[in-house]
Amino acid sequence: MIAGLRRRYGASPWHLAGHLVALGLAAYAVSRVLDPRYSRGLNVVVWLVGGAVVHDLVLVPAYSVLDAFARRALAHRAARGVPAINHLRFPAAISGALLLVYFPLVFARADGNYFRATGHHVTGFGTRWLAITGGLFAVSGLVYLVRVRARRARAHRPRAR
Amino acid sequence: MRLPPAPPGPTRESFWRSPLRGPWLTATLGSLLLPLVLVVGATGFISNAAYQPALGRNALLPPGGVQPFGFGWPASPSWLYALNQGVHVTVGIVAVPLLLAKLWSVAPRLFAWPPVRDPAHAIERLSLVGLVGGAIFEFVTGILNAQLYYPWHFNFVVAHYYGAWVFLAALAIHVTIKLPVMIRAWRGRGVLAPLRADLEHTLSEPYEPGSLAPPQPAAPTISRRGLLALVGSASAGLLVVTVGQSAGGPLRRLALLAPRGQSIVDDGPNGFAVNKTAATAGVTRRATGPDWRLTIAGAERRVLSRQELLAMQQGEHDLPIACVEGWSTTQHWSGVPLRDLAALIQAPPGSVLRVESLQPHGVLRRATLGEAQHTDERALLALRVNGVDLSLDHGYPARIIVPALPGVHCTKWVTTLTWVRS
Repeated sequence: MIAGLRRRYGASPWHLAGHLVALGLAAYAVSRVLDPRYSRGLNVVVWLVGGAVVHDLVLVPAYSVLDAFARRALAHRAARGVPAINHLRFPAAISGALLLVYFPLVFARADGNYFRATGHHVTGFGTRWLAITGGLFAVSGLVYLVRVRARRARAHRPRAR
Repeated sequence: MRLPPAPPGPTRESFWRSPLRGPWLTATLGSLLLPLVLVVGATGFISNAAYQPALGRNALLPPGGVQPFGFGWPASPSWLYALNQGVHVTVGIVAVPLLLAKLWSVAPRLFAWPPVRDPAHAIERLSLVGLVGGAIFEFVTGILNAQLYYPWHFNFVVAHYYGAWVFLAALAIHVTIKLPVMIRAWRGRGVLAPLRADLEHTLSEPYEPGSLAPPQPAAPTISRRGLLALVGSASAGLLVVTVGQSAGGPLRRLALLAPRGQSIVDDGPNGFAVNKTAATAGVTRRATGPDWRLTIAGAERRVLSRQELLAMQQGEHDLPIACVEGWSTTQHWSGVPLRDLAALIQAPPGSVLRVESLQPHGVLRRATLGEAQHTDERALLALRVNGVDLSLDHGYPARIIVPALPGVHCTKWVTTLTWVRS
């Protein structure tokens, strides 16, 4: 009987039991939030599934396309030994992560709430993010120039035997 | 039954060309991410326990339901809550790049063809909706809440708490299923060996159908250790601009983007962050003027003016005040020890302390403190901070300051203290 289940189900009975427990707990948790005192309609389900959809179908394709575009634009530089693309990827990844996490402050999306809570308005976050981003690209560019020079110097130096 | 071949595009394995993707990379990223999300999860449940939801009207979650982590919250060490919340928020934020990298490494799986092979595959994919959706939901809601941005129509506390159950339930089954796959990946390639390869020696993992390794890998443009460095530097960047709002000191000036970092550095003895201004709470100068009185009640009942409170023996302590949103700040507080007030009205032994604010509305206008909290010698009805009177925003005429107590329970503008047998 177990063999039959395995054939028809596609995995061991433990696989089925484990998933049923996990999914049951998850369904129970969602049902607790769906109480109309705590959520409007199915808004919380939209956010639960929507985050994954936006990540998989918008964010990942967007940064993959940007990366492919940059790779193609810099393809002629790749041959020189120092991969220029990574000198874009590092500042872009750091700056992008800061923006992804702190975009509500960078774009002052909740100034009213912020003022009511802190007594201060949301000021300077956008400027600071831009300054950090500019600094990161500048430093990365400098490191790239240094690395290219070092490599050239090495190439021109006669090899010691 | 034969399925049609995969249509052109991401459903074909040949669409995915990155030579870095493969079981080793996913196992490594997963094993780095797992301890971080477990720490964030544990500190989250501890935070709920720190509110002592069993006491009075402290509970912010609906009654009943799964809340297995309730225990009496101690008042010592005084930095316990500040540390817990700082870790919860900072580690959560620092884990974001790792989560994105982990999800990138398994992106081909989303488009796997056929979409469903058999019932086992179907139920596994359904649990992955809970895993990925739950993870992103927890990170997004927590991070936006810390910035006071609420673009949704649900109660943050309830949804963030039960969202964690969705995520952790799916995570438990996922780790159980994938552990053998991870071990196989490390057995085959070595745990650290792939990190020794520089760009020139970076090879793709051997292709097997459905293994994440690409059938037609492109030439690498970054090594595996380079990718980990990329993720690590994004995490380090987030750490630098965030941790100062919790660690304080000179690091606060470095917290360039944290909600209560550099932007809240003010001068003056009352120049530290609040989580609600007096104006927002509806507390006016008039209500807190010379007519303000404190009522304390136990076996007896007394009414005290601020002058009378100042005339009592004052306690002075450096204590942190820490917000559930992760930021904290240590200040020098002085005021009447709650123990001395309890003695005045003969509080019953083993009692809890009900604190009420003159703040006219809001769920946090009242709080109930456990015995360990209000009997601690450093527990104060604070009247002054850093040598001056409290400002109105910081709770003038009097506020609660108790070591390791969640910030929102350090009630401001206190009017009534009642010791009741629990």
